Amino acid sequence: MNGKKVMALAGNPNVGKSTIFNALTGARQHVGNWPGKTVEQKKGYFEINREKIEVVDLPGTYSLTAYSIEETVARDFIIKDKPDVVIDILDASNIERNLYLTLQILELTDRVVVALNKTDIAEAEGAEIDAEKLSRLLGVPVIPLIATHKSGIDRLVKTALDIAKGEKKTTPLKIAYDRAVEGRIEKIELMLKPLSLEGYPLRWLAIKLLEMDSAAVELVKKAGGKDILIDISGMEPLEGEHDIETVVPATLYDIIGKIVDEAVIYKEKGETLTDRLDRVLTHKYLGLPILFLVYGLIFGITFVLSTPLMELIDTGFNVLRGGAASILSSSGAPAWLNGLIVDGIIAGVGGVMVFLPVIILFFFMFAIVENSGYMARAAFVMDRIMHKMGLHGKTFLPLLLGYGCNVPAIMATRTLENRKDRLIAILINPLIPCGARLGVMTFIVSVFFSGLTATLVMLSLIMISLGLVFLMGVLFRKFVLPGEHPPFLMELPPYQMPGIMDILIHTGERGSIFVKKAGTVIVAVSIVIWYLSNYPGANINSSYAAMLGRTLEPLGSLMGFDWRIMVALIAGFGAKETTITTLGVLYASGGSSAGFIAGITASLTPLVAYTFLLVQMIYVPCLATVAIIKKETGSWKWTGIAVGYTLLLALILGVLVYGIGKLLGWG
Amino acid sequence: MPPLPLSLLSPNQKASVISVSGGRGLVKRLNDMGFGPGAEVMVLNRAMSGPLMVMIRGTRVAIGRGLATKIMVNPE
Ligand SMILES: Nc1nc2c(ncn2[C@@H]2O[C@H](COP(=O)(O)OP(=O)(O)OP(=O)(O)O)[C@@H](O)[C@H]2O)c(=O)[nH]1
Repeated sequence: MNGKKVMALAGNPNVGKSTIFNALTGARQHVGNWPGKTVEQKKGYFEINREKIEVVDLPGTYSLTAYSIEETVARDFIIKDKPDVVIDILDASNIERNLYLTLQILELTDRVVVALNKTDIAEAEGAEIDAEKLSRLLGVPVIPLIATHKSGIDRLVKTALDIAKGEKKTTPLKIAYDRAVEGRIEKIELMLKPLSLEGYPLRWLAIKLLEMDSAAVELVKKAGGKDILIDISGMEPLEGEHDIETVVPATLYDIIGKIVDEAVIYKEKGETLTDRLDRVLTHKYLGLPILFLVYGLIFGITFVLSTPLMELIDTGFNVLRGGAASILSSSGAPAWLNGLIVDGIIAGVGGVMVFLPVIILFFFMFAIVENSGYMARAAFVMDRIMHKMGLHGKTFLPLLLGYGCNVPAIMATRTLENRKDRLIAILINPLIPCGARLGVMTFIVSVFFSGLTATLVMLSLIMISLGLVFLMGVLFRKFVLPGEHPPFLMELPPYQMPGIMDILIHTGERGSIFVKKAGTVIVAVSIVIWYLSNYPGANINSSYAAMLGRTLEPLGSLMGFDWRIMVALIAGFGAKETTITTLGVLYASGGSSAGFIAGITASLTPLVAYTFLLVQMIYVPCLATVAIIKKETGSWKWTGIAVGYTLLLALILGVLVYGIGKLLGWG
Repeated sequence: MPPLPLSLLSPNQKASVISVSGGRGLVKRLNDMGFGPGAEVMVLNRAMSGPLMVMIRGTRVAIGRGLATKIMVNPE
């Protein structure tokens, strides 16, 4: 075949696919030590001997059935896109379970090279793997690897390329099931022959049909093979105690057992670090308090360390504004241009760049937790609580991710198998305040409150959001999407020392996404806000912004909000960061940020400020989140529900908190 | 010892899986994760309620209590 060669990376979750993808392509994909990070199929390119190679990172899967989105994505790619070579990545420290997928891949294609990754961990755990022997047994090349040190990558690329070009042939091991099953497979294969089946290997399809795999059944139905399906369902059940769902995996594991016996030597291993850590971190009583402690530390440290840094950045931007203003006026620029640049763009971007410390610190600490292996334990510990919502522990992970950004968090719900569970997880996710909202909160809290009160106010908001997540989860499960308690099954990877480079790269990546956003979306919103608040009249009170805000003021007054806050909330729909920018423009009479802070503290009581923080934390997801909800649910109805209920919830809580606060005389 | 569901196996006691019951998808998923007949399993961590942490085919796996009742095991 001519043209660009395509390599696909396949493997169980958490085997190091993204690490290898990054090593190959120089990309900076998210690496973390918990199963299920990569839910999308990602593409990258690299060059070798001036030849361009495409690499596709498939989602991590344990199997190739049609029970989850990721598995379907992975297997469809291998079957339909026919990559020139599949690089099957194994976790050497976990070889038995990992080989299960390998055997399934070998049933689909012979263009396979096995990358035996994490050999360092395997060695430390006392497993000695003979790669040569393994290669002979599997019938495909096996390349040992330590992806985090990039060791073995060159050999892997060379071997993969040889296979892709057809210069190296493989003879993959053939899997033979017992006689009764083989007989059926043969019969079905014969029946399938006349159909045109988009290049699906017939033997594989026959096995899938025996297993009643939904996608395989659908395919054959479409190809006009209804009769075949009837014939299959009419086949006698297998003799013996187990049915086909059990026999097929049992055969695979049987073969694996023999392979492992021959190719792996286990030395007696004592208690591992993971055993010892798990005894404490997942302890039946200590587990939950420890989780809350970790949670508290992440937020506490972010909040405490970022406040002085935020002030520093703020001062920097004020100096910049002063400088720009004097240069512009001395060079004779028209007043509107001066206003646009100084009060519109610089003030707008500055108001958002102030959050940079929050974003950086949060992602830095979160990445440490993510890379250590603790994330999966958090799911384990939370399972009992999530169970009360009718969901399971795994649903907790997308929620945690939401504190960074709700968009990838909502995509991460793909790891949930059941559609109803997934819908609930998507619907409640926006209630978790993302980095941008946390930034707004940190900023406003530090303006209105100080010392311990500030920390407590911040904590109260985060606790309220958690309470709402729980409440809405229960309500959705009970009244909107009732269902069984979903089964909880999740691999817990060994703990590891977080790689400092992984953490720095990831933090830097998130930081640069944020800065880019400030340079694009937020500049645009700032210009619009500046225009709306300066035209048509010279006075802000007769501006378009004021007109817009005033029409909403009656609603706002229920919560103590003036028109300025209503405008800020509307702007926040575009990107939550711009809430602050907008407030800055609307409250700053003098133009400087001291003017903004003086202006806003003079206009709002702490009660109104608190109510505002609560409302901005809950009301409608931002535009990007709404878009991803639409994409992931594929339905306007559920997108509408997500927007509608958050809006309603924010309104109810806003009115309640403001009303009660006033009754208590806090206003 | 007589067979019992995985959910009742005491910690650190080795056992082998006899059978897995439940819906087609569930059985398949459990089998895929290694909980097939003959597999050796050990409970690492268990509270009065909530999920269990088990060792199956060299991997630590968290498994919900409900699921664990569907796996019958034979203690060694
Ligand atoms: N010790 C060691 N750790 C590794 C090696 N390769 C990857 N890791 C670590 O394993 C973890 C998982 O790696 P990822 O590359 O994120 O795994 P993935 O396969 O993309 O995971 P999913 O996205 O969940 O499918 C990370 O913490 C890596 O640092 C290796 O060779 N040795």
